[in-house]
Amino acid sequence: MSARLPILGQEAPNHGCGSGTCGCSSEAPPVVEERLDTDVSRRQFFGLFGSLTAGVAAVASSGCGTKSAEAAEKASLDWEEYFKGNYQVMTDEEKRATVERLERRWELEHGSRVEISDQNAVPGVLYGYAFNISKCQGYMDCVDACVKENNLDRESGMQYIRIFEMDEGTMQLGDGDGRFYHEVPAAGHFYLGTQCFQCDNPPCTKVCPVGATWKEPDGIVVVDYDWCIGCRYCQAACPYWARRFNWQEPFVPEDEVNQEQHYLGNRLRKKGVMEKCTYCIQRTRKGRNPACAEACPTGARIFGNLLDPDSEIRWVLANKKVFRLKEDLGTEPKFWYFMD
Amino acid sequence: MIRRSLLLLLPVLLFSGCHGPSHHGVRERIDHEQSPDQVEISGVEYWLDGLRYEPYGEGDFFVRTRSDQLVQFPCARCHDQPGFAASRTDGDLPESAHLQILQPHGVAEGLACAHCHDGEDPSQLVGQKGPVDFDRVYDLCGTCHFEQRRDWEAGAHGKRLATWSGPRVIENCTGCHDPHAPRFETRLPTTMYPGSEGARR
Amino acid sequence: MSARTKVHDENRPRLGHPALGLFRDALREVTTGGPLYHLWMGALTLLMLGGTWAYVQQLRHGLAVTGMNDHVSWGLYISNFTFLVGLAAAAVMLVLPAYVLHDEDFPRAVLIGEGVAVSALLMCLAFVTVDMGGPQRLWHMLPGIGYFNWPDSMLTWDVIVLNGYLALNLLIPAYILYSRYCGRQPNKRWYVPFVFLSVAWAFGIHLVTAFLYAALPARPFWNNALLGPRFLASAFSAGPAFIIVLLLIIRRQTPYSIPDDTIRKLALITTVAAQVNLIMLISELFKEFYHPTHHSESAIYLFFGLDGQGKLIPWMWTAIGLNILCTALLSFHPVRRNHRFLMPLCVLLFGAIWVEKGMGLIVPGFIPSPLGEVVEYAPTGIEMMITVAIWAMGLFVMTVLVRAAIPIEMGVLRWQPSEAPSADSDSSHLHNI
Repeated sequence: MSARLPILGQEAPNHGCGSGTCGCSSEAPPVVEERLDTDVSRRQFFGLFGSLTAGVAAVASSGCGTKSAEAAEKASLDWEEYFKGNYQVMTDEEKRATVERLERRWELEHGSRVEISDQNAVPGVLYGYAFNISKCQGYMDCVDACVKENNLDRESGMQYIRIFEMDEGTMQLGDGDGRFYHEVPAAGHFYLGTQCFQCDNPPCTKVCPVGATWKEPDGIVVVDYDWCIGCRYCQAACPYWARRFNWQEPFVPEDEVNQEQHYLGNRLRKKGVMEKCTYCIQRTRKGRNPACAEACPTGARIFGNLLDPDSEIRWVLANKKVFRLKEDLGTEPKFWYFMD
Repeated sequence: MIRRSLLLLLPVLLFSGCHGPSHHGVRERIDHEQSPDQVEISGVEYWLDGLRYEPYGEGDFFVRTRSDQLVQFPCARCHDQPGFAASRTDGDLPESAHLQILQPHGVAEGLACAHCHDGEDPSQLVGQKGPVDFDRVYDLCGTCHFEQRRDWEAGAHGKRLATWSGPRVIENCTGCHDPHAPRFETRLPTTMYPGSEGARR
Repeated sequence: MSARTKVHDENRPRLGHPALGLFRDALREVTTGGPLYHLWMGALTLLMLGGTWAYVQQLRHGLAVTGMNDHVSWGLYISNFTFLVGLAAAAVMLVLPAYVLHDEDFPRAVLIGEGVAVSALLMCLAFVTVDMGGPQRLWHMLPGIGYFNWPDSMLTWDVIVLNGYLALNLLIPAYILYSRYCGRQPNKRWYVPFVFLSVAWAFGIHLVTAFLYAALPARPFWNNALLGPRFLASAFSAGPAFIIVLLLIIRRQTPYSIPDDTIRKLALITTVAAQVNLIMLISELFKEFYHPTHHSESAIYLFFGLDGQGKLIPWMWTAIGLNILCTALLSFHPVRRNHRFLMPLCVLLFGAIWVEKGMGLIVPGFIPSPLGEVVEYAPTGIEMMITVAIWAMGLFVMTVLVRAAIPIEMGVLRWQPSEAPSADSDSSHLHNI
């Protein structure tokens, strides 16, 4: 029988904390104050152009039919989007504004609605993950759920999660097989999953020349897809092969688009930018489990708040023998492995 | 002159040293920042809608109920005669009502149906200390699998449903394990790494 | 080339600012020449046009048209970038003796070296730009309106040092040439401090670029302390080798005379640097192969192949072989002093280092991946077209710069505000520095 769990609330409407504007705004990270003046000068710099196009758009929309009005509106949105700042240093108002522009642009382009959240980190939360290598059976339900939840490019078959079929007697990932496709679990093997470990000392964010990737106060390492210039230095810097690049325009069938999105999470990307696992930021900031943990049929995946002494993850850290990958690199992953 | 040019290098060298190994481990960070106060995320209960669960023990957490998931429950629909017999003998009776139970769990170790099922009342299970409700099947499983039960209570075994915050609702033993064949089945993975057919090594 | 006679024929008065005059004269100088010159420039232009087409394809379809992927995420572009930083830094091998050590023999070659640096830097910047996923968003890096992640990101350091070095190598020769064009002696007080700065800067661009890679503990192949020094050694070998070839060509094709002594000293620098480079290579190979660890897998892939994959093996062994051969032969004085041997040896050494410090350095850094997977890389046609086009652009710029600088250096191209005849002075001003 081994019952599968229902995927909850996927099609449910938003209420409560749904739109992401509930009262869980976090304190601004200290970096904001430092960078604020930068942002102001950028706004002054582009303010003139912005108002100019808005004016042009208004003129265009006043005279012509809806179609050209929509085209003008889209052009104006594109313009403002192109000259917007780095999400990391935006005020909450600016975050709201860009999210609304993106939602409107999606509506103009596709005729459907998406909800893009700009919810900030919940104070008092530091996300952590534990992966039970005695439990994982290599079914890869987590990979499938992740692809669907996070609107990953179907054309290139992008996946954030890798599951390695490991030979008994070694922990060397290179000796494992990340490309298996046969009946699992296979005798003489165990299974070990990797994804972004949301390092507490991430080597990837440090190297980004434009600050397009950073660690949020709740410990999630995020990418501002609109700010990334696509140099892929972060991809070279990641010791866990957790970052993915959009080598081409990503494609998700319209009816498969997960409409519950977050600016820093699963909103649709474009070609030439980096992306990565965000512990399903669009779900976890609402209190939900990440899609991988929810989909796992074996209970090998444990997710929770590291700052809560009563959380499951803390019990695992305290009572099981845990290890992390490449601890010698000092990256301090917030992703632990353990055994029964 | 050469010395002066070397001096120009100095600030470069100084600057590159300004990010020394000042980082503490994440464990120290956790110890430093942790708080016994529960984080409240408003509306989180919403994601538990549609789930049926019951409090566990003193009510620290909740366990998903079992009986509502059983297709042939309540048992008295068929087993309404004393002594476990079924009243329905007409053509509607599914001959194979329980025939999927081919190799009941533990038979090799000497377990029989009656070790878990109440011979008198099919709608409940029996443990060492008396009847056990289907919704509290963990009491029965935990009799032998006490280590798993300890892990399950604490959160290292089994799984939490829907949310990481708010009320803790966890899956019952039988939510994941077929009680008659608790080992997970062998099957093809749901998906694969792109272009995996030709395995690498 | 007939610059000397032409300028004397056109001994006409010119009006306006001397800067305009310089621009006009230089433009005329670079647009006139023999059939071979036009053929050369035409061929370069064609290659650039081909590359432009290829780049449009890349912009339209994304970097998927290249051979790069999530496993090997830097390829031919960044390989060439890395190598060319070394070429740019090599100008210092001419500047250092000429300006700092007052070596009488070098000045004639200095401006050529700076021309090489400028073109190499332009190629570097072009290679980085074509490697970007979102070049239209590069303004995000501008301090003030963007977010410049300095000093954390080594890439921002590289942006600073490369652009700074470009500015220095444009400004110093521009000032000297302009002064000369105006018939003035360039004022040492004005430019010598910048020369010193430029020398320090040359080491800086090299070390910073090496640190770009050495900064990544995720990539043990790069994450070693020897990377910076090896960068310098290979650069100071390949760079002067390139300049020797260039000087020998200039000497043959133009009336600009370059003393044998300059070539001789440059050849010595090339040889010593190549020897040092070999010693460092041996140190690295010893460390990787005496007791191979998991960190040696990239080197094993590079030299012997891993999991049956090894596209780079023939390239690398050829490069190592040539490296040893050239270094050994150049170490013999009679061979090195004979230009008939020197020129091909320099070309071969240059090629060997291009392989070793280009693809041979960048690609194995990604193989195996941090999770131990072996995915190979080979550049696509589009990638090669763009790469060739950028090289063509660099050679084009270099030709233009050299072409304009030589007549000014020789004193035949001068600002003539009046009917006064131009001073046919000797072109040895730099000797006095």
